[in-house]
Order: sequence, then structure tokens, then C-alpha cells
Amino acid sequence: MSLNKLYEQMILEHNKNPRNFKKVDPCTHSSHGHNPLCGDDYVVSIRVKDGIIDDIGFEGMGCAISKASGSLMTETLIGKPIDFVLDTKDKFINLVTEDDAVNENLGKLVVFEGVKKYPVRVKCAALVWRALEDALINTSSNNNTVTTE
Amino acid sequence: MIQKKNNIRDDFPIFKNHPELVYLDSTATTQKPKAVINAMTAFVSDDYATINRGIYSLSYHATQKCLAARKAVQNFINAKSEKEVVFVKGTTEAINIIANSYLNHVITDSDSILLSDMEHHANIVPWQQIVSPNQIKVCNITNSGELDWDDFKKKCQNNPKLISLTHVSNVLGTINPIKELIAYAREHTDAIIVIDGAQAVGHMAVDVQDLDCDFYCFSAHKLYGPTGIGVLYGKYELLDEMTPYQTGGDMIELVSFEQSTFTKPPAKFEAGTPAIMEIMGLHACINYISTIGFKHIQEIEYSLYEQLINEVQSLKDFTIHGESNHKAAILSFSIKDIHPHDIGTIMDQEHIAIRVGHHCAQPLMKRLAVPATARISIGCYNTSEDISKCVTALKKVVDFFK
Repeated sequence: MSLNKLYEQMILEHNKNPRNFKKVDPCTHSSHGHNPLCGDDYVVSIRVKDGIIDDIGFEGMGCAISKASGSLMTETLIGKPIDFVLDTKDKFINLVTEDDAVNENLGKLVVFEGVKKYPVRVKCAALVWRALEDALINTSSNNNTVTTE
Repeated sequence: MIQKKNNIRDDFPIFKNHPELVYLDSTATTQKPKAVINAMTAFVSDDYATINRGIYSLSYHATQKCLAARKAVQNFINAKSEKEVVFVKGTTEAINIIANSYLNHVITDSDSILLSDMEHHANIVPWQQIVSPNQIKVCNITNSGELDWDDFKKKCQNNPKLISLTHVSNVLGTINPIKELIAYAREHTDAIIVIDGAQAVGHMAVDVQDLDCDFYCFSAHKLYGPTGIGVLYGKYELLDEMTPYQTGGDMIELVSFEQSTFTKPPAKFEAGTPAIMEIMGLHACINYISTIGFKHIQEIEYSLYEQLINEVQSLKDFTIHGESNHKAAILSFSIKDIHPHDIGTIMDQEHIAIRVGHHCAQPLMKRLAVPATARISIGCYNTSEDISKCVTALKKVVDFFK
């Protein structure tokens, strides 16, 4: 397996220049994603308006895979309805974990397909998505923490 | 300077089975020599039985072998008696025993304990279960990664009930001046002194009587021995007054449903059938190390460490964490703008096993102001070629993320 399959150029570029690397203020949903094993640590903040992601950002620190994942996730989801967001989240988690994953409609996110060949790095790609899921599903309590360990 | 070929490497089957492997994570756990593997296999094939209670000869001989192993540990760390050697699962269990069976019974609300900023979680969390956060005092470290003597002296003024320090830092590599620290603490406090020896015993001779510590803890698996076995050394008077926190078979004198009485140390702390096969492995690894000798082990490790330090000078944006003059062959580092996990994955592609993460030392990561580090650690089986391959791979890492 070549390293370039894991670290696709797009991933390296988003790691260097992450998009939406910010706190959304005011936000309607947020969650803190933390990987206690390696220290990856991000807060995902979202403003939902009329069932649509009006704005979304992520802030924190971590490896190239986790940072690029946050960047591409936010870029993909901005302006999209909640149903689409949750569906894309499921498809993304499948993409990085299941061998026979269907990667239709994932757009740029398919660059993370190589991650599943690196089992110890799956949690890096999934971290911001888990935080997103937590933020949207546990709407009653803002500022939750999820971990990928 | 050692010769390029390191014959010790041939003793370790893992390198025959993985000729490409560059193993630089001996601080996490060491690989096992044939001598250890064979001793355990032979015991299970030829001599296996329970110990201490069988009337039959197979059990008697297994018991004798365990006694011999305890004796070997006694000699290895120069304990006064083999009764001061308690077999435990490892360093973590040893510290948990001291916390629960000693500190828990003597600490009062007005007492404090003293730890340091460079401790492993195993030397922090068990104490936290016994005392409240404001009772834990922490000795600072200097910017070069050494214990801050002035701060240590200052914190001894509180007369802590217990002082627990690591002998060698698993992140910084610093070898603490344990003997001098203990001597100072003896003079100025009444503290019971615990030493976490996990990272020391595989690399230097340890003499617990000379150190004059009250407890010394280590694991066999960092000593080229098996997992699941380690040692709690304690001064006999202390072990004798302690109440075991695990009870059951093998550690009692008399049992009735009304009450039970406990036997003497070390059996008092060894409830249940012990890890007999692993005890054989522990004995074998002590013999193995003694045959090579710490002088030779240190020659190998320090010459490779020197080579490593010289070669990493050429790397850009490379920061070393821990620059004590008195160090074990452990190098923790960061490379600017490259996360340690990305370093680890690329190194793995080159078959180089290094550790990345917080190394079970989150307070130290906070002190160093880094989320995690990468760590290269050297064992007696490493070679000059290992170091060169490692540095070449580090150059690749830097180029890849440029």
C-alpha cells in the first residue's frame, strides 16, 4: 500500500489550509471530539436554520488525517439539509470501515477511502464526524464530549 | 565503538521472522530472547504443576523453581531477603498495592504525598484513588527535563507522607538522581519512598539497599521477559505491617466462616495461583541480562544513542524533549507542523516501529506544551543500521509534509 493512497494530495492540502477552521458563533449545536490515545481534539460547532446547515466550523488540533477530515466534512455539509448530513455521515463511516462500502454521492470525501487500510488511523478520520453526530443528535445538551476510543 | 554487527540481535527470533523490522519501541515493551521463550516452553512442556500445595513431586519441583526465581530477583536488585520480593502482574499492580495496602491505612486528611511532573499515569492515578487532589504535591521539572532540586527541597518541607518518583522517565529519558533524592528526603522528611523502576531495570544495575528506597517496582516485559509478571520490592517491616488488598487462596494461614488469618509476606500479597510460567520467564530474563552484563548493554545503547543524536542534527524543525546530561537511550521529539501520528504512520511504512502519543504521561505533555510526541527508544538488540534507517525515514517524513 502506497502512502499516497492514505495521504492523498487533497488531504495534504486541506491539512495545510483547513477550511472552516473556526468557531461558529452563535451556534445551535456543538460537540467536543477527543481521542484520548493520541490527543486529537476538536470542537465542531454548527448553526442550523430551517433544517439546513447554515454554518459549520471545527477548531482544535490533531493529525493530518483528522484535520483534513474536518476541513472536507465542513466544506461538504455547509448549506445542506440535516437528512443529507446524517446520511452522508453514515456513508462516510462506512467508507472508512467497510470493505464493500458504497461510495456514491460522497464527492471529494472519497479521498479518505485509503484510510480503511490503516486500521489504527480510522479513528482519526472519524473523529470530527462522531462529534458532528453527537452535536446534532444530542440536541438537548450542548457542548458534549465524544471519544473515538 | 561497538562493531557494526550486534550478535545479541541473533538471540531474538522476532528479527529472524521480520528481517526488515527496525524495532525502536523498547520503552513500551522489549522483544523476547530465545532464552526466555525456551525457558517458558520447557517449563510448560516438562515441569508444569501448581506450586506451594501439591504433595506430588511435580508440584514440589515447580515450587522449588519459583523459589529459585524469587532468589534470582533478590540477587538482581540486591534485596536483603527473598521475602522482600512480591510477584505481581507488573509495575502498575505494584503501585496499586502500595496505594491500597499501605497509603490507604496511614494517610490522614492533613497529610500530603509528593510526585513529580514526569510521572507515568501508573504513578499518578492509583494515588488519586486514595487521596484528594489538594493532597497531591507535584515536583516541577526544569526546561532540560530534570527534576527541579530546589522545588523538591521546598516540597519536602511539607513532610509528605509518601514520595513516589520514577527512576527513569519514559518520555524524557532522564535518569533521576534517585540515591541523592532519597538521602535528602530521609534527612528532611519521614516519607515512605516509592521508586517506579519500570524504565530502569533493563538498562542499569539496581541496588535497593544502596538506594535505601522503601519500595521499588518493575515489570519483566521491559526487561526482555514476559508480560503479566513483575516485582514489588518492599522493606520487610513495611510489607509485614501492610494489609493485603486482594485476598483468597494461597495467602492465608487459617480460614473459617467467622474469620481468616493471613500468612506472612511475600505470600500475603500473592492471592490465587500465580503466573507460574511467567515467573520462569522472569528468572530466564534475569539470567539472560546477567550473562550480557549491564556494561555491555550500556555500551551498545549509548553508542547508538550518540549516533542518533548526531544524525538528527541534520533534520529541520526537529525539537528534542528532554536534554538532561544523565539520560537513558530514549529520544522524544517533535517535528514542526507534523503531528506525531503522521510521523508514526510513515515510519511504519518503512518498517520502523516507534511510539507516538502521550506515552501515558498527559501531565508531562501539558508541561511540555505539546499534545503528543514521537519517541525512539533503544534496546540491547538494536544496531547502527537501525539508527541510520530510522533517520533516513525521518528525512522522508519531513520531505513528505514539506
